[in-house]
Amino acid sequence: MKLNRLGFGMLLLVAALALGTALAGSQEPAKHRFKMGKKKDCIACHEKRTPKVFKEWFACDHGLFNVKCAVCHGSVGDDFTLEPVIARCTGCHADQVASMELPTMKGKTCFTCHAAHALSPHGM
Amino acid sequence: MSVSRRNFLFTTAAASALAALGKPTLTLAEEAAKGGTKWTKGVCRYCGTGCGVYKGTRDGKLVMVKGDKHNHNAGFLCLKGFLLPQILYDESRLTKPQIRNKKGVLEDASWDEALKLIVSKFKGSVKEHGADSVAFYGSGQAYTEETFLSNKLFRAGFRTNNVEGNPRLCMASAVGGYVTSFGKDEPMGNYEDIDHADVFLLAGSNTAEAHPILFQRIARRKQANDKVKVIVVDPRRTPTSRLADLHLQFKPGTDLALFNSMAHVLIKEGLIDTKFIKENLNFGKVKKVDQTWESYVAFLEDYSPEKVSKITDCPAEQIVEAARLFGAKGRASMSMWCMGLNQRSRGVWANNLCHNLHLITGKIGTPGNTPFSLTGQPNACGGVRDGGGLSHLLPYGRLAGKAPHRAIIEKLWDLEPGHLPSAPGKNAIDMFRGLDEGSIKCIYIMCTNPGQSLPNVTRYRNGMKSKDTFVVVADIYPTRTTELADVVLPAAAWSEKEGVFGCSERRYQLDEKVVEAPGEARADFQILLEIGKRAGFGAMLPYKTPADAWDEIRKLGKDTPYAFWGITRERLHKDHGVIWPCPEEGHPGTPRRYVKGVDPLVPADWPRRMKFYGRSDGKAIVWLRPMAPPAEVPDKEYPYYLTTGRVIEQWHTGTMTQKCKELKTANAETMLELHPDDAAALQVKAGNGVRVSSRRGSFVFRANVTDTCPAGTVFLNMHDPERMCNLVTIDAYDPGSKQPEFKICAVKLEKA
Ligand code: SF4
Repeated sequence: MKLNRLGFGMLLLVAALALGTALAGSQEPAKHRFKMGKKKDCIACHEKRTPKVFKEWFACDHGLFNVKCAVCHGSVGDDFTLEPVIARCTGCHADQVASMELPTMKGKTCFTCHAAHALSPHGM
Repeated sequence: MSVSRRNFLFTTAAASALAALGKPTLTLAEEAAKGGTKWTKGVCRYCGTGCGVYKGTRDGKLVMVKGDKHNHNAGFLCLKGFLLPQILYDESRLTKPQIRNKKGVLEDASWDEALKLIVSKFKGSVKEHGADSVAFYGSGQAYTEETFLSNKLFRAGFRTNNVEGNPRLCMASAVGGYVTSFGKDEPMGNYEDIDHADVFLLAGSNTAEAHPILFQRIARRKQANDKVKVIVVDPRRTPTSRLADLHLQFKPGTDLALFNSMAHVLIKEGLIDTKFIKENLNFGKVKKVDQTWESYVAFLEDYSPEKVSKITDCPAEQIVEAARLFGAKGRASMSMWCMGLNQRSRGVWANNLCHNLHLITGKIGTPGNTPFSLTGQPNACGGVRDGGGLSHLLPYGRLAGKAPHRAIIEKLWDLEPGHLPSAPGKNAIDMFRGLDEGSIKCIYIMCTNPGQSLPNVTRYRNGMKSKDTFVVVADIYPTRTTELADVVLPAAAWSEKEGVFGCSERRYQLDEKVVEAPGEARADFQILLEIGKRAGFGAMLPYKTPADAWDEIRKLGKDTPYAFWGITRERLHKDHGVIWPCPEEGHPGTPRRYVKGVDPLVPADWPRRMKFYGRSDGKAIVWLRPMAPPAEVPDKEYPYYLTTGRVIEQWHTGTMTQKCKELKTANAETMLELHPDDAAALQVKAGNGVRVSSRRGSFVFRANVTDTCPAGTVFLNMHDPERMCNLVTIDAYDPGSKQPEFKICAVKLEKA
């Protein structure tokens, strides 16, 4: 896709606005709080710093199958998202992601039913 | 944490906007989700599980990968698979050929200059020093057609058997095990066996990290049936151990005794299948099949659990329990193993001993009962093992050292009788030793990174770097090997070319091209073809595309135990892979080999339930293999065991995974796993530098203080290009398979 200068400028603006709004709309920062200069496993810190989140994740299938933090949250760089974008679920759950377009799913996200990190199946 | 609709939308919008700026990653997925994406079937680039994928392209770019729900992986991918698109788009991609100039610097060149130089060097070397002064070192990541072409170019063109591949470093002992026990290479079962097994014996395999989707399938089987038991046999506690009902932790290298002891218990407790033994088995020792059931039983007398417990440091009761679980009557047992058994100076023996457990219990050839070796690379099985890309092989089970086998290939390739070379080629380690010692002058390295992945790598890096050798490397990114090369060729990557991959379960599947390669990068098939033509071998290489070569490849496998004549190109385009044997077009493929009524190569009137047709009498062999220590064990000077392995976020030498944003910072540094007792003795705290030294080399790694290994054993992963475990590992190899012992050596540790 080729962009002229005006188009590119518009996109920058949209990006900045969208990011700003995302930050404003969230209680927590959208950026990862710490610079990860050292190449560690996320778990090395999060097991201690966010023990509840770690335990919920570890106990569920995602934890057992090693579907680790980066899959849903992105890297610790500028694509880090505190609240996962559901397109990230597509790799393994393509049909379910597609079903979010259905009228019955209006106003819902994956996490409306599947509690974050524990991601328990329906009815549990 | 609840996510409101509003926040969700905002996050999405921000991500989309960033994607449009060409920023990152998750947003490629985001782009794909917007619709208008074209989806094309393919195969994951990474491990030998061979998960089916769909590749999503938009505007000429690969934007997303999702699991193929019609393939064996049922739509699931592990975290590496999902992030695949990023491996194509790092700015460090090689896009122009490079030639090292007189000052020793790589500089851009034209394809014509690079190819001219390669052909003149290789032809010149053949003329001056003989055909065996040149060599090809390929990969279990190359497509079958690429390995086929390199095989033909070097064996029939340059006329040398110096055609080798990196599966020597990972699978050669599994090949040796299958061939010696059953007569032919490759597992006989398939992934579906997982859904039928009641007992899993996971030996020397960190399945959870190295083959995540298979681990998931095992876990699902266990979740669905609480009677399913998992035995893990590994000196180290890994994420795989989470699933273990029983974890046998033993002293590195003593598992030969452990398997013999399990056999001892099986026999003592009557957990054997006497009818199967009588009808289907022979017994052998060293290289001769001259033993009996009685001599086998007598041999095992030395391996009582009590005695073996002392050798292995593994409690006798655990050995007994493992044998009882494995041998329980009426239950199906599946063993799976990987580098822990293969990367050993007695790797073939370790494989044989695992096969023995299945053979004496008759737990083989029925759903859920199978000895199943796991493969590390996507096409080590299909391309290199089956296709004959190791120095001692010819395509589809033939041996380069056997005149009648060469005669068959000469006929199929339309060559004069006696054209193919009879002198044996060099295995991987000897090939790079040859480079170091001067017997090999020119080497072509394709799709692999020996400058990082060979054991005791400094020695071999020196050989590659030497002014007296001419090293060509074709790859997609700069690596620890391209930095040593005289010529670097920019190769097209996965998805920028097409070809066939064959995974651990004998499933052949087509990986389709979906995007163009960047700059001047070319597919390996095209590069080899061009070299062949310029070297004067054009007449024997009458192809334009990989698809053109496929029928010839099918023909090479025809009337062999690998038969896959039925797997046509059309079928590969349509199907989600086919498992061979598949001898006729229209044949559905074979889930279990050697089984009457299932495998088309077993005659309908065969009197027994299985025919191991790789052996003339159709019988498998139980080998009497004694306990043998690793090539190097700790002593006063080097008092620790070093073992090596993998983490889920990275793959092999990290050249692709470390191009993914998410994986660059995730477990990307190789750290030394050090037991708290050892850390205390060395006065080392987490994060401190520790110098790890062996008789071969030394390097400082930061410490990760953890009790995953028992005290006295430390662990490094193999992935980090900046912190290479292979500066320290040993290059001793198995005398049969010639596979090096990456898994065990002796080191000393000092606080740095
Ligand atoms: S398990 Fe292996 S083949 Fe499957 S997605 Fe992961 S790396 Fe790819």
